[in-house]
Amino acid sequence: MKSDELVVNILDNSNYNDIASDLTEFVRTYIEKLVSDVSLYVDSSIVVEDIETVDKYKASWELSQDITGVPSAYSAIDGNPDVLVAFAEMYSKLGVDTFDTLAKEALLDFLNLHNGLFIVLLSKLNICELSLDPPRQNKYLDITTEVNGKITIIPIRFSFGVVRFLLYELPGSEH
Amino acid sequence: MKRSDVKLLVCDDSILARKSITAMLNSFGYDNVLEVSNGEDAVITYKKEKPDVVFLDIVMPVKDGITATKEIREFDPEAKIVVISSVGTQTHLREVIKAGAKDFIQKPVEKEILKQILENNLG
Repeated sequence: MKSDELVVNILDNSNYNDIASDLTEFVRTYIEKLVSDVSLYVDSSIVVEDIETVDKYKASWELSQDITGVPSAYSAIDGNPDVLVAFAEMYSKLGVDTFDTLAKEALLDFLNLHNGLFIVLLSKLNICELSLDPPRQNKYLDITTEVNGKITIIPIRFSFGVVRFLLYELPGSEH
Repeated sequence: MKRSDVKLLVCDDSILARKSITAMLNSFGYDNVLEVSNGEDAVITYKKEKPDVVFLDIVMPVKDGITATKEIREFDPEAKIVVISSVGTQTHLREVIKAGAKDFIQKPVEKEILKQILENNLG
């Protein structure tokens, strides 16, 4: 199956088509590219669980990267540590078996790769020219939006569990 | 130039990227590969070690790859710098060329492209 068809099939089996009209073009493109990149570089046997938008999000660690320009956005990756370790190993194939520096580096490497390919796609489509800040890791993640329901959570189920990807299009930066 | 005489520098803040690129370079027969994790260290290491080819990421902490490219080229106008990054947008490509890089490789790196560009730069 071609990559584009695979992405459409995966998203058709989620609530994506029901909520797409409520999302900005930026967020829709991000979700479609994310599913494509996860399928290509990690695992194609995935299910996108219900995508939702929330006002607040907290986690015990922060693995994130800012997308800068107009629009700008905050992106992050989260999940149960065992699941994140399995994701990191499946992506990196470096023998990652604990939620340590190497696991976090692998997760951030994937986030950076995906975000980079996402902004390249936007550039190729002449939608906008964006850049990235270096990925970062901190002890806690605690974000509250200034506008209701702006954090989009994209939960992707693998055989080993669910990884949540977050995208927060920053207010006032819409294209 | 014999492969054993070639010195290469890989600069990327991602451990994975450094490991992966270095492993590819080693598989081509180039074992003298230096690694650093930010643009500042790339400039310092270049001045000290004068590697034959530098592979630089763009998005890095402390000093980004485009600034590092400019500084290395100011020090050595003949420096051979290949930028390897996930952010190959039109704007970034223009900046990379303007800064003086010889080539750009879009991540994820394909082994054959890396080999071809390395060998072109080694002349």
